[in-house]
Amino acid sequence: MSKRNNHLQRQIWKYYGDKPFPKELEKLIQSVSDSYDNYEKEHKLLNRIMDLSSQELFDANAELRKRNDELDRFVYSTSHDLRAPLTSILGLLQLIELSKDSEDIDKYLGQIRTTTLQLDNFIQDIVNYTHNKKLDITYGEIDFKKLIEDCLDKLNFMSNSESIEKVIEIDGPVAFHSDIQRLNTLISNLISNSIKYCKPDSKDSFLKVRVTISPKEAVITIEDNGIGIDKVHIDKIYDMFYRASAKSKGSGIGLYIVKEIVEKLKGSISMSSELNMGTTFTLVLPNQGQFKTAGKQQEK
Amino acid sequence: MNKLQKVLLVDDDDIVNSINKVIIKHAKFADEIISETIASNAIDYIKIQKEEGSLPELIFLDINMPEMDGWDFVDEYVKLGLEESGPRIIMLTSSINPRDENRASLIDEITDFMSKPLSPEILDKIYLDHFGSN
Repeated sequence: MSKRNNHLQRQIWKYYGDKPFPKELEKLIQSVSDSYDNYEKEHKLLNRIMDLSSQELFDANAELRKRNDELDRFVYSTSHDLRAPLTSILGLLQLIELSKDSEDIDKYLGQIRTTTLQLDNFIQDIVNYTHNKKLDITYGEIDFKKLIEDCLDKLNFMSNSESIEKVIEIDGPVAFHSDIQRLNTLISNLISNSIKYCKPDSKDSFLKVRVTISPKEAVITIEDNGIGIDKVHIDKIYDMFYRASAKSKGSGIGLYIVKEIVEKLKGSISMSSELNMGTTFTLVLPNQGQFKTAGKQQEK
Repeated sequence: MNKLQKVLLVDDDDIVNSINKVIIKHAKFADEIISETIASNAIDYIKIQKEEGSLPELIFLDINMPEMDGWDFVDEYVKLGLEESGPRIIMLTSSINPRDENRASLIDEITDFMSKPLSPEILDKIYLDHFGSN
């Protein structure tokens, strides 16, 4: 005789006691017992699935909450920085409508252009920020000379750019592999800061970009002799929307993006600066070419 | 005759200050318009004007500025202990965040909270609301 389901057996004991069970009912009871067994098995399975799903739900919910908080803070600050240039443009348009003097109108048009560029830069920063957050890293070989020259070309419109002497030194005995888009954002952010915060009246402003590549990593230093950063701000310069100087014109998101990208690329960044003397940023980024070859060898 | 004698603009953005200057001139709102791009300099300016007895009647104050922001400015301003006859402060900002507006409404020294850009119509309204009885 096969074993009866425990739960059923308890019910039989409860209502029937130890009396011998009528043989003619044995088949029926066995069938009921099987049904009990099946029910219990399915119940267990269902419970396990529910446990797993609810754990997944809890995790997803916690992640969503975190993202939502981040987004809240981001939207709060960003909406201001997007709106500020637009309100300036609206104001300038108003002035153009009121003005009859063509020289004044030209001045206002120039200011509209400056403000529009400022807005465009900010939007570009936001795009770079989300790009770094969302997109996977894609490794490729980096041509530092070209990358740095391209960055300088794009920043040539900045008002001080032309009067600054630029030096690029690259020591690259081996190839360097990293994510070109992210590297581009990193370098162009740091270079544009050097240009923005050069000494306004100095005739010997310089900007030196040095790159030393080894099989393990690339060390990139970006050095200027600009206005420097006061020591009291040093801990905060990478904070989102932090602006160290009353002279700063940006939104304060640039170095935050730089820090986020460096973290994503598993590199490091350090800075030394002296007020009125200049600033040097040093980036150390792992050479992903090594991982690539190691990976291929493992496959063989 | 302009409506007010002196207005002080505090905003870290040069362009915003120059826009507001032109609008205020055009609306014949004030005889003299002073602008400061650094809030702490504006506090120094007010200290000097207090001594000389030629305080502005109105200050347009931005919120989002590096180093000393609009809120810090108000804290410093309160410390100056100006009488009720001192300048009115109107926050003029790009922020449309209700949190900022709420915060401003809780501070006695802040007379009003307005969204940029300034216009002749807004200046008329400010005059009627806050200086009309003069």
